[in-house]
Amino acid sequence: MTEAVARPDPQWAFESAEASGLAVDGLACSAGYRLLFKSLSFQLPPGQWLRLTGPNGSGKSTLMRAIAGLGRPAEGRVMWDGVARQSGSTEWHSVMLYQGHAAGWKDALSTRDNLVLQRALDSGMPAEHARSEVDALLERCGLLSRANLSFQRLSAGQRHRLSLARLAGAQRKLWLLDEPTTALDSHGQALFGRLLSEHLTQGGSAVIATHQPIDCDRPPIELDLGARAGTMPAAAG
Amino acid sequence: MAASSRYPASPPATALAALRWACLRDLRLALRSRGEVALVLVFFVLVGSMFPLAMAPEASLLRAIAPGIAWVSALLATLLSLPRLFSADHADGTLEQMLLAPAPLSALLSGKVLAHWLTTSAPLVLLSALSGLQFNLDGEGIAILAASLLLGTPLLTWLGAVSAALALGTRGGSTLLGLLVLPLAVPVLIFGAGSVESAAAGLGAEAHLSLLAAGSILASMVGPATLALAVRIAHE
Repeated sequence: MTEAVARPDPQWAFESAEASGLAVDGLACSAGYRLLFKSLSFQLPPGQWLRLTGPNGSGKSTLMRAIAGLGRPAEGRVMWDGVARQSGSTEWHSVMLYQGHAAGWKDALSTRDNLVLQRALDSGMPAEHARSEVDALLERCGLLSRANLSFQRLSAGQRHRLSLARLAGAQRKLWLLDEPTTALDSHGQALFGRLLSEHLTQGGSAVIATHQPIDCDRPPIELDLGARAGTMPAAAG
Repeated sequence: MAASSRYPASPPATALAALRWACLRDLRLALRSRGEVALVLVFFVLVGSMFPLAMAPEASLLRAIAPGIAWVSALLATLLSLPRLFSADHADGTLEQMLLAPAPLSALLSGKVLAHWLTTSAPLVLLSALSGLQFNLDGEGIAILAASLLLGTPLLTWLGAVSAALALGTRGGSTLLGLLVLPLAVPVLIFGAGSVESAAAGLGAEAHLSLLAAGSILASMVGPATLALAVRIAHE
């Protein structure tokens, strides 16, 4: 992989369709009748990450959901490895991992059981033989001593750490993370930085909506949705 | 690119594994919230017990209305339990993760429906024997009542599950759910309660029971795909 280059503006001409990794082509999304953004195009080659910023309500989460396939964009398409990704297909789902504000943990279950179940769902089922692996993930994220505690008794930061444990275990090429570092203490933030750096070194890529600095050894591609709102060039891509 | 070694393409889960995962998970969660599950069953018994208190306690009258009352209480109890099927998973993001999992969505949701049927409707079938006794039904009547519930409740659960998925994220969803499900449940109610009456009249219950079974089989075939579609729509 070539070295990551921070590009001042991700709005460059849409290159050939052969590019590997994620590419977004002329995407437009709206919330109700309000257009959030349009003609949004960028490419995210393997080994790079995109930092998504913008004021509240500028469409960061909507963009994430549109890429993941949870929401339908008004126009435009999302490509993976040069092909339009099939939203809702299991192939796309085993490439991408989306984590929004609600991470899908169950209050009534223990921390370990939560992770065991989620890992089974992430990686094609059989739940039983994943125990030792799960404990290693919990230890890495500093949750092993809380493994038997029910999830509702974890602090907000510890809850986010459990999401990090899932991230560390799921072998997906593309991460789509919405505010992954809120409520994390400095150790947690450093841990996230390490996980991200590792992920990128191994050829993964990530789109991360965040307002906090992320301590990653590769500089991000910056995309500020707020700066783009309303000042769209008439035609792009 | 060194990426391929670190990301072995894990095969997507088979439909059966997905169904099993979702069913076991929901059974486990039901075990953790036994109170909520028990509430539905207590409700069923209580509604059934109200009628003898409110009416003239005449054995022949009670026997005549028993199947209708058992079925209406079963319908109301099912309705009471329906919001529980998806609302918690919707609120905490689990449903979103199921939508994005490398597993067939219809199988995951069918697992949930199966677990729901096992924790609410299956106990109702057993409890219907109790309400049959309350109403002075004879042995045959009780057996047919239980059989009609056993064959009819899967259809009821599928109807309710699809409606619950459609009502996801709407304000006052549970009230809307009642309005959606009750009209659709009328045929089930007619054939369910009718089976006992027709047996008591000496006509045999086979026709009614066969129709209920046919409905349930049809619902189990059409239900998974419809439900997956409804959940997808609710998330757009």
